[in-house]
Amino acid sequence: MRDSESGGPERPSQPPAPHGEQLLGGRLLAEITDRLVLLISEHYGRGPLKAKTYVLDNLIVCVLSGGYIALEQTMMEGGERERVLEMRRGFQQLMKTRYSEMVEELTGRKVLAFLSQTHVEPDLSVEMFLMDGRLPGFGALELVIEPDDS
Amino acid sequence: MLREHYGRGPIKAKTYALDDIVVCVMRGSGFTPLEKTMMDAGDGERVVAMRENFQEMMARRYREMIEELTNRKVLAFLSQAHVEPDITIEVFFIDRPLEGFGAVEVLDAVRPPPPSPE
Repeated sequence: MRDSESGGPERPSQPPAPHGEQLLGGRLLAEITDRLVLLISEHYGRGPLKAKTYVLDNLIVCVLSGGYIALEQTMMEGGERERVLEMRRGFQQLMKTRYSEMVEELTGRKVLAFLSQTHVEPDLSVEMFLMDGRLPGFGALELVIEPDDS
Repeated sequence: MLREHYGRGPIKAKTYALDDIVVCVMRGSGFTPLEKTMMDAGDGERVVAMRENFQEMMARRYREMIEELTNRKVLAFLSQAHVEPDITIEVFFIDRPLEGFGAVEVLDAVRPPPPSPE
């Protein structure tokens, strides 16, 4: 079962945005996550067990974990860990255009660079998109609690 | 660490904490004379490979520094360099979320109608 999350906190489920409408905040993150997982499932044969997307200034970071296919499991057990990593890296590079087009479509911004890394044990992949500008609707809030003098 | 061991550090560097992930984004690391020569000769891919090899060699030092500062164990370290635009990203997965970080999402609330005057 896949646990697809946005980078935001728990939020009420919302209907998808009408075609052409710019998604913002948690809805944008959830849509990027879902579309990325769908692309991986379609082209790799199995999607990640967990996926989450974050926005950091002009960087979009998608963190994917879990989901070895049977072939990878067999190779790992046979001590071919490096070959599994190489295969995954090759796949991510092949998918670069599809991923970038999807992110550009959803954000309305241009992808300047795509970076992708994979790790086994723990099974993690990170897809990163450097955008040509900051995405609206994201920021940071710092709460400082003053010490109680009383 | 980068200045000490690579001979040159990034122009901009920023670190983010996301749940149990620490992300360091370094921009504009610039190129050493050796890298520039390789780039001019059309060997940009080798520059990326060299930078990634360097990051692998530094992995233990980076992990120890993060573990010392966060008091958490690093479960995985991923690193990637990109040329044009010049950006390097280091990602540390730690064994539990860091305290003091979180996200707040503000949605346009549907306001209830004002109370009718009696």
